[in-house]
Amino acid sequence: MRPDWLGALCRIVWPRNRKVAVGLVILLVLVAVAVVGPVLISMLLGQHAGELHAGGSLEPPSGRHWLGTTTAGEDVLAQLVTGTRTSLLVGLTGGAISTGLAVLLGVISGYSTGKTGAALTAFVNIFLVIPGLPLLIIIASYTQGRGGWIMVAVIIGLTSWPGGARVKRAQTLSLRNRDFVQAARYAGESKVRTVLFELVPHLAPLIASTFLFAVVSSIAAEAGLTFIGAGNPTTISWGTMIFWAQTQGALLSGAWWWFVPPGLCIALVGTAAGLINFGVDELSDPRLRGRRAGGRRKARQVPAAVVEAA
Amino acid sequence: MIKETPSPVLLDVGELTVEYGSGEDAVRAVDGVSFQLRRGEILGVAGESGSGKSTLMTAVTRLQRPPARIASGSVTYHPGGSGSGIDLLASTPAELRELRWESLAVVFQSAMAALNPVMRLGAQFVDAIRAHRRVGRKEAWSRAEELLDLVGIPTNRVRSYPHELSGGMRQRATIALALACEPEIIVMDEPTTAVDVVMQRQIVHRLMRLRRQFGFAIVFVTHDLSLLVELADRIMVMYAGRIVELGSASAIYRDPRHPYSQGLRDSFPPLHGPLRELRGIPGSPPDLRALPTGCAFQPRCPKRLPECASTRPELPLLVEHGAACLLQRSADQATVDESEAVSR
Amino acid sequence: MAAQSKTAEPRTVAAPDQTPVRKGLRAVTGSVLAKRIGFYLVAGWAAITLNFLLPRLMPGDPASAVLLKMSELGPVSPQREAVIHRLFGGANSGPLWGQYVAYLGGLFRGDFGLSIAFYPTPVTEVVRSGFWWTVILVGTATVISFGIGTTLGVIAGWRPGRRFDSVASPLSIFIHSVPYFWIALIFVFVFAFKFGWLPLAGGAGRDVVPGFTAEFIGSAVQHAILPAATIVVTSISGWLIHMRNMMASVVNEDYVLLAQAKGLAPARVISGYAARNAILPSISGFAVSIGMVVGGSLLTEMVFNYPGLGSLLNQAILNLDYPLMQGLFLVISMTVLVINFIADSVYVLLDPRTREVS
Repeated sequence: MRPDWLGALCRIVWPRNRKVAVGLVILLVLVAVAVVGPVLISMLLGQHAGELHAGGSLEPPSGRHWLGTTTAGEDVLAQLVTGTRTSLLVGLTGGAISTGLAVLLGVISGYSTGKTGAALTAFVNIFLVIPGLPLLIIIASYTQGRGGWIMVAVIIGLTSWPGGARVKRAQTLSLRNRDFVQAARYAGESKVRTVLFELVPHLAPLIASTFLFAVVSSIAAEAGLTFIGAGNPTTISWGTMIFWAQTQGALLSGAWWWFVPPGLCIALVGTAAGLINFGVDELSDPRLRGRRAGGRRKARQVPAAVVEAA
Repeated sequence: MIKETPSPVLLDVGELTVEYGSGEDAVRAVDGVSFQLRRGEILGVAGESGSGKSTLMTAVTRLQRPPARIASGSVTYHPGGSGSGIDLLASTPAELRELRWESLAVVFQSAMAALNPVMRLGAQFVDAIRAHRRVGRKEAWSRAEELLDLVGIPTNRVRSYPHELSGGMRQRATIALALACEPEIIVMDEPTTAVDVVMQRQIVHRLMRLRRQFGFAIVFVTHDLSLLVELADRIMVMYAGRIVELGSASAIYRDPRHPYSQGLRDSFPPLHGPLRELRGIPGSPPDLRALPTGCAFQPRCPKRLPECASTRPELPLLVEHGAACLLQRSADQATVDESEAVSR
Repeated sequence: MAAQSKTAEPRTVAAPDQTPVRKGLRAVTGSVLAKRIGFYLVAGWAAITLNFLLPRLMPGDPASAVLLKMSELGPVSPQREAVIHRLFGGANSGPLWGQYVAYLGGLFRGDFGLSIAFYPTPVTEVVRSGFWWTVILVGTATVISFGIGTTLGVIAGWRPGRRFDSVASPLSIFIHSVPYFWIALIFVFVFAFKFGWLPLAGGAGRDVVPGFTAEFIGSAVQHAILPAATIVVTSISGWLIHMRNMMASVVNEDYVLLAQAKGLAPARVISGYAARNAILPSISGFAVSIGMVVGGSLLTEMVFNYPGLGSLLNQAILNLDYPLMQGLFLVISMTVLVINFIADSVYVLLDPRTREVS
C-alpha cells in the first residue's frame, strides 16, 4: 500500500466514517467556543461571566439572557462559555499528564524483563485496583483549592493513569516479540532507541485514544471534584456551575437552565470522544461494523439522536 | 480409486456466485462455480489464498458471514444420493440446523481457533451429539470417548481443555468431532495446514481409513496440490474465484492442462516419488477488485497468447478432465483438426 | 471503552505434548489462588501506606488544621493530640519510620481517632453507620446494571449493525459520558421535585424507627429507588459497550462458526460459545469499571443525601474532617479490593487457561 498523501490528508480533514466525523465536529465546535466564545459573548451580547446582577435573580432564558441567570443574576451563557475554556484546559492538562504517565509506566513495565519489569507491573496493577476517585478527592481536599485549576488538573493526571497504563502494557507485551522489534534488538539498537523508534510508533493510535479518554475523564473528574466542594469554587467551570446551582437551590426553584447546560456539555465531550473511538475501531476492525449496506445508512441517525437528546 | 460407474451425486453446486458487499463496491470472490460431489468421494479443491476456495466452502455450507453474500446459483443436497434434492440456499435456519452435523459436517483450518477454549473437549462433542440425537448425558460422553479413540487420542483426554492438547491432537479431535453424527459429507478447509508434515501424513492416512470405514464424502480444501494427489479422487483447481481445471487427481498431477495448475504442482514437493525441481509461480494472486481483462491468470502466465488479454476462457462442460484455458482450446482444436484430417 | 476491549492480555498458551491432565489440577488452582491473595495483601498494604504518606507529603499541615478545628469544639487532651499526630504527622512527630510503626499499630487496634464533623464520635463508628447503606445500595445497583448491560451488549454485538445495535450503541456512548451526579440532579428534579413520586433525599423516612420491620424496609426501598436508578442508568452503558464490542469480535471466531455448523440452537451458540467467551474481558477489566462505579456512586449519594459513605465523605470534605476522610478512604479501598479479589476468583473459575502455572 503506497501512501497517498492527498487522500490521507482528505481522510484526516474529513473522515469517511460518520461517527468519527460527528465526534470531530463536536470537539472542534467546543474548542472554538473555548477560544473565542468569551470574547464573542461580551461583544455580541454584552455579557461577562463574572458580572453580578447582569440581570434579575434566576431569570428564565430570554432574548437578553439566552440561558437565563443565576441567583446572583449572572448570565448563565457567559458562564457556560467561560467554563468551557476552564474545563477544556483542565481536561487537556490532566489528560496529558495521565497519558504521559500511562505510556511511560505501561511501556516500561511491558518491555523490560526481570526485576524492574516485575516491580513496575506490580506497581501498575496495585494502582489499578485502588479506586481512583476517592484517592483524588482525598488529595484534592488536602490541597484546599490552592493552585487553582492547574493544581486540580495535576492531581487528576496523577491519579487517573492506571487504566491507560494497563492497556499500554498489554499492547507492548504483544509487540515486544514481533519480528521488527526483535530485529532492532538483535541489530544492537539500544533499549531506548528500540522503544522510541520501533514500539512507540506502533502504539500511537492506542496512545491517541487513551489521550482522548483521559481528557474526557479529566473533565468529568474536575466536575465531580468541584461539585462536591473539593475543588476551587471560585473558578468558573462546568463543575462549579453545577456546584453553585445545587448549593443555591436551583433544583428546588426549578431553574433547570442553570444546571442542565453544563452537564450536557460534559456529556457532549464524552460522546464526541466515544464516537471517534468507536469509529476508529470500526475502521481498523471492519468486523465491528456489521453489515455494510445497512451500517452506513444507520450511522446517519447517530448525530440526529445526539442532537435530539441535547 | 477411479470407479467404473460413477456413484450417485450427493451435492450439486450450480453457477454459484458469492460477493463481498453489495452494489458498486461488491467484490466477486466466487464467480459462477459449478461442481458435483459424489457419494464416498474425496474431492480436492486447490488454489492459492484468495482464490475463493474457502469462501466457496463457507457458502456451500451456508456458513458465510456478512459482508459475504450469495449473489446467485444453487446448492442442492441429495440425501443418500437419492433423486430428491434439498435446496440448501432456500432452507430456513431451522431446516439447516437439522441437516448440520447429521448430514454435513465441517473441519476448520486451525483447530486451536475452532475449539471453544473454555469448554472441555468432551463437552463440545456432547453438545453436537445431543443437539441431534436423543441420548443421555452419560451416553453422549462415552460416545465422545469412542470418537477420540477412533482418531488415536487417549480417551482420558475427553475431560481436557483444548489448550492442554498438542496441536496434532487438537486437529485430530476436530476430525473426530466431525464424525460425531456420522455425516455423509465433511467439508475440510485446510485441515492439515497448521500441523507439521509428519502429523499431516498421519492425519491423511487416518482420514483415508475412516473414509473406508464410514463411507462419507469429503471436500478437501488446500493450497497443497501434491497432498491432494495422495488423497483425492478428483481435484478442482481454483483461481480468482473460478474453476480453472477439473479432473481426476492422477490426471491433473500427470498432465496438468492449465498453466496455473502446472505452476501449483511444481511449487510443492511430492509426498511420494522422485524429487522434482521446485518452482514458484511468479507474481502474486490477483486483486479481486480489479481483475485483469480476459483470463485472470494471464498477467502471470508463462504461456500467454495475445488473445488471452481479451477472451475469457470457459471450463468445458461434461468432460472428465478439462481446463479453462485458451491453449487448451487450441490444443483440443488441434486434436479435432487432426482427427478430422485423419478421417478424411 | 472500546480500547478496553483490546486489553485482554495475550496469553502464551503452552501446548506440550504430554500435559498432566487432571493430575494436580486442584493444587494448581490452589497456587494461583495463593498468588492472588498475596497480590491483594500487597495492594491493601499499599493503600494503607498511601493513606499514611499523603498528609505528610502534602503542603500545609493537616495535623494543625485538625487540632485547630478540635480546639474550637472543646478542650483537646494530650492523648487526643497524640492520636492526631500519629495519623497525620506534623511537627515534633519524630522520624518517619517510627511514625509509620505507630500508625500501623493504631490501625490494628482499630483506632482512627475522632471525627470532627460528628465530634466526638470515633471515626470507626461513623464509618460503620454508613457502610451497609452503601454496600447494599451500590451492590444491588451494580448487580442489576451488570446483568442488564451485559445482556443488552450480547444482543447488540451478536448482530452488529442491525437495528438494535445502531440505536443502543450510540445512545450508550452518550449516557456513558453523562456524569453520575448530573443524572442524579435531573432525577431529583423530575421525579422528586416536579412529580413528587419519590422522596427527595435521605435513606428512610425521618419518623420511621430503624429496625427489621416492614415499615422501615419499605421506606428504605422507596428512598433507594432514585439513587439506585441513577447508578444503574449511568453504569449500564459501560457494560453494554464493552460487551457489545467483545461480542462483535467473538462472533467471528471459528469456534462460534463451528458451534453454528454443529447445528446448535442459537441460544446455545450464544450462551455456551459466543457470550461465554466475550464476558471474560468484562470480568478481567472489572477493577477499572468497578472503581468508576464506586466513585460515581459516592457522588450520587451526595446528591440524594443518602446516609452512606458518599454523604459521609461529603460531610468530611465540608468540615475538613481529615480523620473521617482517612478512615473512609481505607474502608472504600479495602472494599473495592475485596470485590476485585472476588472478580478475579470468578475469572479463574471461568477461564481454564488461567489455571495453568507458568
